[in-house]
Amino acid sequence: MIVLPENLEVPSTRLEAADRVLYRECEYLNLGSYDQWLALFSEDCLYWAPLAPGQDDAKSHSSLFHENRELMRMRIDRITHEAAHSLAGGIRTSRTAGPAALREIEEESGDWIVERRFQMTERQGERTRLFAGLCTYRLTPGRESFLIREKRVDLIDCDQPHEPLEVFF
Amino acid sequence: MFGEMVRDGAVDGRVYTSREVFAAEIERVFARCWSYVGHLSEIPQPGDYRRVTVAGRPLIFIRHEDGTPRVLLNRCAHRGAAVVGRDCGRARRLRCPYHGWTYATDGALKQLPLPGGYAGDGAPRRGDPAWSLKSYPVETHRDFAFVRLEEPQKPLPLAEFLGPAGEALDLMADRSPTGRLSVAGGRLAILLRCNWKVYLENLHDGLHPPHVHESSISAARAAAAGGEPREEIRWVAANGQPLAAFGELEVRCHPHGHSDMSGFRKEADGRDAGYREALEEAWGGGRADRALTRNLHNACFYPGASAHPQYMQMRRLTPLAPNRTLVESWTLKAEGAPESHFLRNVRYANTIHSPSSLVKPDDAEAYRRVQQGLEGSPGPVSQHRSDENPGPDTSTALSEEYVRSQYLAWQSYMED
Repeated sequence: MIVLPENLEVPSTRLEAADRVLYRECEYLNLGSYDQWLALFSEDCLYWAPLAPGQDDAKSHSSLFHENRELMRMRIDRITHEAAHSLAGGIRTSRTAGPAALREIEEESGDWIVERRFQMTERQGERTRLFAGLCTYRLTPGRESFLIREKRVDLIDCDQPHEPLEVFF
Repeated sequence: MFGEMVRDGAVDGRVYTSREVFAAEIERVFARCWSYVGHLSEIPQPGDYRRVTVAGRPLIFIRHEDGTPRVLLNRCAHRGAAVVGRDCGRARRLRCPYHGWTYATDGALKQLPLPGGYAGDGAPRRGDPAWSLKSYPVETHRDFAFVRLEEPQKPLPLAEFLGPAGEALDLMADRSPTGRLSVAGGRLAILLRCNWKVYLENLHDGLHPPHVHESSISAARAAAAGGEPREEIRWVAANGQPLAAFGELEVRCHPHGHSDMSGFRKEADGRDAGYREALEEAWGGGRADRALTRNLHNACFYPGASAHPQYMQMRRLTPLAPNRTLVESWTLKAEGAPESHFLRNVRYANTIHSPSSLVKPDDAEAYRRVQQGLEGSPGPVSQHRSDENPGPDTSTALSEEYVRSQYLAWQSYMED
């Protein structure tokens, strides 16, 4: 269950709804259910993995990933294409998330800002590698649940060289 | 003996896999050529430094107190410890963390603890050049700094080494009415499981895109179906042009293995109010027009760097092992150019040079497969492809002329 800041109370049904979104976000990726994963995001969403620790600007500084919904869709179409040669040996991923914590509810937008630590193991062909870092979600409340408006992934080694990064963290 | 591995449009596959060849390449090719070490904007103030590795040597690219760029070996003259531990920083003196030997920003030994305690002829002394941090010759072209680590039999000044290939650097500097550029927006770095030459041999290869990039071309076409595609989609989709169009891309081979290709992924960059005029005033009409319209894609400075002037990209290749290569890239920002160009170039870097690029994984996989195939069974590797109607001075992206030109340079370095 999402950890709340002190002095903040929210209805348990809302917390459960946010929890479900975060669980599905991670698990759809683990299962490679990319269409269902993308359906968790809003139309104006952003997927961002900065290149530098603490990076606060994605326009005048390069990023590992910086994709709107259209580019996320394009990535999914590429990795699920039969001629994605780099994935000919298959790819399996397992993400494990730490406890999620609600940092704030933005007054103006009503968006929830939620953070959680993650680790991901990726097996691609004959290679296995590890990723770790912090995920920060911006969840936009809807009538019954939430949509993810932004997912930011700060890798602990974001500024180091990497072999190609093909799937979302 | 290495020279015999190249003949008649084919090379011995062991040039990509042999540890012996690799070790010789580091000493004979990489150490003896001018290697791109960084842009002067990365070390703007005296004492500013960056750590760099070139030809296996740990180096410090540093601005000396007199303002000149220096390249020093990051190895204490005492016991050999790396003096600098951070990737970059600013220091008035460089002090070894092990026993405190301290050097000036030109490498001169300034201080050593217990100076009276070193006995014998030739014992370490303050100011003795024999006990400095080793320093290497640095030359610059429009603020792009190059270092040479070992002297070849016939040493060339940088300008002569670059020759006509230097145009790519001029095109970048000429995009600023003041000629001033700065590295901005971070470094993207990708690790490849292939020999360094496999990567270079793909720089102007117009035959591979429809095969290698089928998955990203297809995804980009689907994304573009809705109307006017955004530029990231357009850049990825560009690989999907018909082979005949790649046959229109002009490839020039220059001396010393350098080459460039013109015409791929064009942008219209002269439209911003006042910008063209500012360039014309600074450089004259012809030069301004060239800076804005001449598009050299993947200009190659053999063996270790390449530039893409239109998108202001500079890349450096570092061979790590016979089958491992690091490629780093930087975006340069032109003073006085429209901010929109810089922001677009950052998006370009994200799309094409990030490890997450949709284009890169299949390139990297093709390189890995070449490596895999050759490690199992070397044999000859063909570079016979030529244009059906070759031009007198140039070839096209459908010819392997530039690969043969790289091997001519390789042979001359390896036999030197």
